[in-house]
Amino acid sequence: MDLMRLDNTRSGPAGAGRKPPSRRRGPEAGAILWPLAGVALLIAAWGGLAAFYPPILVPSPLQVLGELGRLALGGRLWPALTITVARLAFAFALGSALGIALGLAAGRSAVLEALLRPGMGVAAGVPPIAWIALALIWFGTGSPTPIVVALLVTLPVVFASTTAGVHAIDRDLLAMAQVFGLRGVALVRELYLPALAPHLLAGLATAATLTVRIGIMGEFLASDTGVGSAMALARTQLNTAQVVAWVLVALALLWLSEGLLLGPLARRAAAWRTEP
Amino acid sequence: MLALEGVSKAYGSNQVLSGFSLTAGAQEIVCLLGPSGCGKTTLLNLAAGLTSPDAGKIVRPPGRPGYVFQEPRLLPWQTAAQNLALGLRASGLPEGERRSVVAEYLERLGLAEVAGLYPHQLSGGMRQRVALGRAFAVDPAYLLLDEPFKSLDVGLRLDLLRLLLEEWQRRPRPVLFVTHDTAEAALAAQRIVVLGGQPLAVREELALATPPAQRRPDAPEVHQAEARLYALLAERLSTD
Repeated sequence: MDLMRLDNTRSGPAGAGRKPPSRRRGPEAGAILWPLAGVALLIAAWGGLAAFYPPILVPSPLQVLGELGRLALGGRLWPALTITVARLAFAFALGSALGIALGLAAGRSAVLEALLRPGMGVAAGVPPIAWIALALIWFGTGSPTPIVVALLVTLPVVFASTTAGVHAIDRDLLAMAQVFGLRGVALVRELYLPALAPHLLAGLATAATLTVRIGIMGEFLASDTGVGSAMALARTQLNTAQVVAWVLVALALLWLSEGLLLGPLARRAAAWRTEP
Repeated sequence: MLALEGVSKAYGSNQVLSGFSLTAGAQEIVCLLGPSGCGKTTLLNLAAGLTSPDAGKIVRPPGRPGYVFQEPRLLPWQTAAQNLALGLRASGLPEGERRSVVAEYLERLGLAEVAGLYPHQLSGGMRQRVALGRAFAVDPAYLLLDEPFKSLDVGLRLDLLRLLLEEWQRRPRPVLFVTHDTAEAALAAQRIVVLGGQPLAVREELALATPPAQRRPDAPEVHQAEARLYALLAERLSTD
């Protein structure tokens, strides 16, 4: 998925006008063209498979599109999407904020890191399905279960990438900041966050993917509302085209998180690097 | 006055300083010479408050230090102007005043044209100028210089040394200036302290009478000091 490549190679027209003309396509054209070709290839393969199997096993792209249209026009798409986005955004925001705050603190205190690591290890190591089972017992069916499960899965990822980033910060720069009296919020804003950005963005990208995947799984198994729950309902009705239509909705959520949040953040964080 | 009084400092079993004393007067530039790794950077870090001594006392003039490190140590994600203003932002100077101080130092250090560029877009000399500006701009109570011109060519080195002396002339203050360059020391210092040994000890002190700003590279006093330092350092090499 696009989320995994939050590098700076796609951001901005760096040096576009200076390179001598060559037979290779420029990065800008290729950045759009090749992914599009990849998507076309996927759809073609899917269409090919659908021609050989009955729709109940592999519905065709057109059937799925029709089902998606019916969901949108029939008024089922938006309520499910709204509640899922609200849950996932909440879990992601809380998980990231906690992960960054705890990661910053643990990166600066070996004692705190040693204290927190086992807990984070448990959160990350327990299979998500086990968290769902437990959350179902604790909270029943409703919003808390998918939120708590998504939170438990994102928190350790963001925490780990933040502590790793803090450990990688140049000690000499920290000593310089200390000499010149940079402290507290200013120190975090001017030194820690920019220095952490590459680690942090990679962690946030993984966390966003996990939030969508695990959050929707939580809804599928333990909720009466949202995209995951609608998917579960479509499955019991053996409406495979609709199951796939909901899958497309989940994928769209991932693309949106990359396009609207993480992509712009990554471009902003890397802006200084791309200056020629 | 900046003074280290009977300071001891060990790293593990390595006793770098033991009851060591050194003073720079209120308007004095003291150059420190000595073999690499003898503990000169430790002295500066103690003076700056980056490290605390195991024993002894450090007397600092009230106010912040200005520290110029061996490397520029600029924030790569900030422009030259932003880097230069770092200490001013940290001290909470209002933005209007900050702007005028930054503009003044960009101009004085010949950085006005590159104010908006990032460190990776600057030459080594330019980067070290920004680091000098960052130290000057905070109007430091005392200056600590750790071979700040080490990696620069001779012409650039003399340029920056002149800028340093100009700045010091405008507002004299205690300066501890670590260098390996005998010519640099003979040009800039009022007192030259040759250090060596473990734990660190003062091997020799040289005082120069002419004020640094009036000293010329070809003056006899400078030549004599340089020759004396050269002899001392060469002698150390053969006995250490």
